Amino acid sequence: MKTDEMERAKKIYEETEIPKELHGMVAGLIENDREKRSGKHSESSEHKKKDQDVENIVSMKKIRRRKNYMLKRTAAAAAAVIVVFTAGLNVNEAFAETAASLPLIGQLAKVLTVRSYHGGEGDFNIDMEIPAIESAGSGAISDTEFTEKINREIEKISDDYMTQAKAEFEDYKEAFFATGGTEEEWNDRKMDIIIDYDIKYQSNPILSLELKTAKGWVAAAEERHYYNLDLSADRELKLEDVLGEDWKEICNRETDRQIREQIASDDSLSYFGYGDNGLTAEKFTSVEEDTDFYINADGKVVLVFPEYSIAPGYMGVIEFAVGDAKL
Amino acid sequence: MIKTEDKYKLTVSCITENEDNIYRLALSYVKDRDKALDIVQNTVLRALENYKKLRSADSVKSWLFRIAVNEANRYMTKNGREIPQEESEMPEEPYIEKAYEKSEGSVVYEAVMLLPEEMRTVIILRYFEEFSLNEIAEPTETNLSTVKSRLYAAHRRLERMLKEVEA
Repeated sequence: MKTDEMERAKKIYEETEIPKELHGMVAGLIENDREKRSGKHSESSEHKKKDQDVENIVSMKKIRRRKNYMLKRTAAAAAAVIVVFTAGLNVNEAFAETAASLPLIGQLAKVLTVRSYHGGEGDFNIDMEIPAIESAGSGAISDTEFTEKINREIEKISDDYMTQAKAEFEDYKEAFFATGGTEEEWNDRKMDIIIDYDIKYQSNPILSLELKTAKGWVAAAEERHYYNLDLSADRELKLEDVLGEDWKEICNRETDRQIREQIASDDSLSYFGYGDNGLTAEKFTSVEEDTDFYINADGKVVLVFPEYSIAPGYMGVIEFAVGDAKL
Repeated sequence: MIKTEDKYKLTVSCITENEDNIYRLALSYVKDRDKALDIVQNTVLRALENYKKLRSADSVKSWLFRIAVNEANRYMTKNGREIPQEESEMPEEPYIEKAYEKSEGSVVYEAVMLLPEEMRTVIILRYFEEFSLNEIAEPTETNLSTVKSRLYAAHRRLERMLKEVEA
């Protein structure tokens, strides 16, 4: 066999089309792994376990700091275009109308959009609806400390997400050109950033609110945050509050059962540690106090597992309805 | 002896540098885009779980490809080794001839892809990925002499396949 024939075969091999999502998938797995490791670190350091991983984490923090610095410019630019609605109901007639049509949670509170922006902005397509919870006193709006705290948290999550997503994309863009990518290959690609919310359940005095953040570029990634509130008592509900003292057992039994049911009926679905799928990541074992959940319109408790937590990334965010909420 | 933090960095950079190569190798086994992506995913997860087992900076690429070959083999074992339906319905001979008739195609490439797995992987690693014979020994979990004999056998097989096409 002549060498040039093998060379030609090599060239064809190298020209194998690479799926667009490959890079994003690998980057996502690495990012996820890093986050998992930095999470572990914060616990162990309290116990003064001086592990070599510590240095690892420190160097990662440095990288993050550099990112944040880069971000400041883009964040300032973003702030300039974002339309900010202050939450005053009588400021503007059109706004007051919208607010009036928004769902009321009994007499206790309402959820409304406080910041809204839809449109392109440089490298980004942004769809943003940031909610806030307003406690309604008699007549005048009086925010309680409790809802204020949650509103601040929602605002922070949204702002941080926007900042991080943009930094990530700028880093990616920088690396793309630094490694010899051309303008033509870049082909004016943009990142979609979505921040949105959904009222999952509302019945005086219970509110179950979902805040969803997502970004899409070479791969899509989605994160969700949940607020299950008892507004009469000014507190966040735990799984135990809605399922009773057997909450752990109920959740684990139902999750395990539904995973088995799913993989038995559809072999394109897979979960870590279930069946012989060769996936070695940690299997679902148990829910914890901080496992995400919401209450759906039928009053059922729905567990939510983030991407990559109990199944491969292609499975996305996973939900299991485990039982009726005791409200 | 390399430090744990360096092992992690090496693993991560080796993964990002070779993601395309791992995908191509996986595709040579499963001939299906989504299945190949699954193998890449499992390879990455496994490498990140086991980075501490890395012995030296030199071996990181061989080590990563060893994981990839293992994951590909595991996938094949689990899902059976038959070729996907559409392809198995096609007669084998025209498969090579079709590529050969296209002037831009490469009959050698087609023949390599039709080799039995063990031979094919040796050829891919040696000629397409340009591994040394020693570097191939790790991914294929063999020793130097086995690599040599497989490579030799693969060559003979290829020669024979190509002769058949020409005849």
